[in-house]
Amino acid sequence: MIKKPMEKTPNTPLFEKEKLIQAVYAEKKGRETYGENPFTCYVNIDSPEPDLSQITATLLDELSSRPREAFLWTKAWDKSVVGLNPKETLGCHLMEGVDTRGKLYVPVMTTAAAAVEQMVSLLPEGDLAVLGINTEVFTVDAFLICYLHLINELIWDITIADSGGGRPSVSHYKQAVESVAERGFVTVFMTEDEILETKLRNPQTSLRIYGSMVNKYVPKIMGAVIK
Amino acid sequence: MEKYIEKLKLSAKPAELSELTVNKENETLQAENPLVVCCITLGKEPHLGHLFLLAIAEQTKSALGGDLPVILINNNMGPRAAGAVVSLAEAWGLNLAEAVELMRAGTFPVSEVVERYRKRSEDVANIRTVNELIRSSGVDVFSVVAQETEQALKQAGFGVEIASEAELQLVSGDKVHKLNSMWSGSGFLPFVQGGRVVTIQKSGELTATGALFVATQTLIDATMADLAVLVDDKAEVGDTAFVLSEKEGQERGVQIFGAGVSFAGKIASGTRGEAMTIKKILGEFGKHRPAEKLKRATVYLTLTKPMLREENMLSKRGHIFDFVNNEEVITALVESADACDLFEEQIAEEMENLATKVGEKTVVKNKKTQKFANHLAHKATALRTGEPARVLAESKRVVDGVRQNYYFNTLKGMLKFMTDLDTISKDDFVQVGLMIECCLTRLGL
Repeated sequence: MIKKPMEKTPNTPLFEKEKLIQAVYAEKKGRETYGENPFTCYVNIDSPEPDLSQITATLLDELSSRPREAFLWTKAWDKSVVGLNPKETLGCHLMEGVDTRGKLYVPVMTTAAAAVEQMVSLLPEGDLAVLGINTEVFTVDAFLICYLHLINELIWDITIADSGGGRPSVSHYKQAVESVAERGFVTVFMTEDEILETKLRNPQTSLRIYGSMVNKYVPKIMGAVIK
Repeated sequence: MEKYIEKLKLSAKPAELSELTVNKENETLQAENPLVVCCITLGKEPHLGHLFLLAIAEQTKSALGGDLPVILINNNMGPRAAGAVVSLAEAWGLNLAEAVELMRAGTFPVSEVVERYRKRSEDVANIRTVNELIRSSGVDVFSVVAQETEQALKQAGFGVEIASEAELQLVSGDKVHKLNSMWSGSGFLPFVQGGRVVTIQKSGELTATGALFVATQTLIDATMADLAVLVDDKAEVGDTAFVLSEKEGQERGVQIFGAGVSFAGKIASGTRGEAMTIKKILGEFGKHRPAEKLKRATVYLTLTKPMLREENMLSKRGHIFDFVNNEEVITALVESADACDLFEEQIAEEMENLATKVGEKTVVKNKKTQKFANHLAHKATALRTGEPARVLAESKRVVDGVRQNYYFNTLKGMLKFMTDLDTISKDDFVQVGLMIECCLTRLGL
């Protein structure tokens, strides 16, 4: 059962929580900290209950078929826009920021709760990691933004692990994408406190924070990648 | 072992069609009861640009016939209207509900409302509160400007009626959710048809298109109009016309382009423009010619004055009427009023001349005119029955910078025909008289 924001009672002491968020914020893991992302991933949906399997499959296909562009996209914090474009196939389309085709996507901006749990329940399960999404997310567009950021977090974690402490490269990235495409992950919902506690207990857990400056329904703490 | 991505692809559902299913069997344009609509924010007094917009609307209304007046939707909702209320509340130390109520009652003079509109607040929280107050009560916070505008337009000879968008929305009921049942209730409502998407609602609020659609559809339902003609260049006007038509599967909404105004090539309309208000134009025009002739002077000007393309200006949307300054506008309107009188006199004279040519049969001076004469009865019937599709198609055309009008062109053709006649039969004379009468009526001068 997903809790709505007003129902949440945080247990983690405020000070500790803020310290943790600051630490996570400082943890850039070799990603760009300046400038615009040169690429945008447009997530084309045609209903408030899109097919998550299709979105995930098209994302992984897109990333593995265009690893150079995808590497730069993920490295610059993977900007995504959830939109509607009946002239394009459903799912993810990675485009250059200057690509005028992006203007054909009408940004989806919902306010009502979507059946996100139902959407997640239809996903097949993998064994590479657990993506824990903040239960505060309830609109479909906010959910997809969080979900895509967490998949990218997983891919980037594997990329830097494979680079063995060196400079992550496109080939490390390509391998990471293939590894996610092969083994997959499990997606669950976690409260903000559960996410923070998991990070405290296991520092290997990656958190993703500050997901959107545009969509107010995207929570500050989007979720965790637990390996 | 099966790859995760293969499992994903196997579990993916086939795509469903989210477009509205409409019956497209009957695509004939019907306009027995057409409704011509314009939308203006009456937070400030309408100016010269609006005068032309309304003249084009009147011209279109007359050309299509029907009994409904031109409706001007007073755009008195949304952040700009609410921002004006917040600004007024701050200036006068009122709470927001009091400010809304006093503006509805017309307590403040037009000058104060315009001042507050120009200095409108951007306080998001207060704007949201006022928006909700306006939405829930349907009050017109620009009522004082609306009343004054309606009065000025009446004096100028316009038959325009002003409808409050807030009131239309209050009585509208649910007009949008059936446009896309799949997204209904999500806070985002796209209208999707033929690969085109029009956003009706986003973030839980109606978009400009959504608000115009609701207001227009409410007017259509109230008047039982079979066609809505929306006059303006704005994108939301085109989108609304598209939704009105596509949801029914036949042409129920049409966009007719308006016209901008510039002074020596510089845009003169808009909030910072220098164009005179309609009220002031009426006063200045009234010094030279009867005030009630302003409408016909403006309509005649829109029929005859060449426009510039807005190619090198801020907007590339359409055409503009260019003048040197406000003084030249008044001169042009006075001259137009005289030219209009002269045009009608010329027609009357030509009819008198024609009466002297009545004989046994119709004899023409050249072959082209003969063809016209042979089909006179047929053309007269078609003209009097009304041809909405041709009328609208013609009004979208611009030749040598001049907006075209089906009846004005027919009338000019008739004048040429009359001078080309040696004699005319009694029956044909009657037909010509009826055609000219019809054209003059449908010109709405």
